Amino acid sequence: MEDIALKDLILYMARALVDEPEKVEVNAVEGENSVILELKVAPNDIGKVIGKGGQTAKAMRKVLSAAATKLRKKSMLQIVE
Amino acid sequence: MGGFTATGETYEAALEQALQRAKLPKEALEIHTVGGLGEKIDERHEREEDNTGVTLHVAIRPEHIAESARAALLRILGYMRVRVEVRTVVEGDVVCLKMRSQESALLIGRNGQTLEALQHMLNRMCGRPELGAPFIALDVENYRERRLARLERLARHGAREAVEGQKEVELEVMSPADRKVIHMTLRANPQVKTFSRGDEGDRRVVIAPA
Repeated sequence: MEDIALKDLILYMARALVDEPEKVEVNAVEGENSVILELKVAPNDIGKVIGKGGQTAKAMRKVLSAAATKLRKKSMLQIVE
Repeated sequence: MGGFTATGETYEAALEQALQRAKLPKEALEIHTVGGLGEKIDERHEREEDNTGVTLHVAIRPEHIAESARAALLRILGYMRVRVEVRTVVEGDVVCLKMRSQESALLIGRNGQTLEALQHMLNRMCGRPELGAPFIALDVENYRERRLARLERLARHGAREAVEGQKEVELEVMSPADRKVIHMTLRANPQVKTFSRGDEGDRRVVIAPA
């Protein structure tokens, strides 16, 4: 189970959404019971990863939390410029 | 079928415009001339007639969307270490990806939220609505069908209870889409009326005797 790739999961989804995939970065901070992922994209791509009314960010968080459930962890996704 | 038009002085120019707009290889597109006899542009092109301008009707092949969505879904679920079988079905303007998995409960999530989220992501990542490409729908083992059947059953039971007891029956908290199913199911029933009550997040359908 340990090889569930939360960071790669977010990287892959974010890169498919944006215009500048080479500028996408993800940092993961793993705790005992939690994992925090920090997603960084080009300023012009912020809107694409957040989506209309925040829908895309919400969907990404949902998919991430399903994946984290398998690790018995809480997940958090922060989007930064 | 949806699509878009591309124009140019020559076939090549129109095709170039279409490819640039779609940002896809020619094989992913279905290309026809607009008007005329509806013949394929390739045949027309071979005859090398008419240099007065060409208008193409261009649509993305649903199979192309289906394949790219399937690949993206397998990759996402690969990162999640979820084993899954995915079948693609093209139904008119919808491309449906039907999954089978031991972990279907994880893929569906509470009230279908994970399934909705995956569907949203696939449409954002692989969909091209601005070019009239088909919507990508996602399902696990006929979950959507079973869910719809359950909502219709809830609606009918609620209506019977309301009529027999001559009282209001309040259903469970539901999403706007689910509430709509209840309203639609009972719309043709003259014995009851339906409305919703409460704030979003705690909003329920009420079935009352007419």
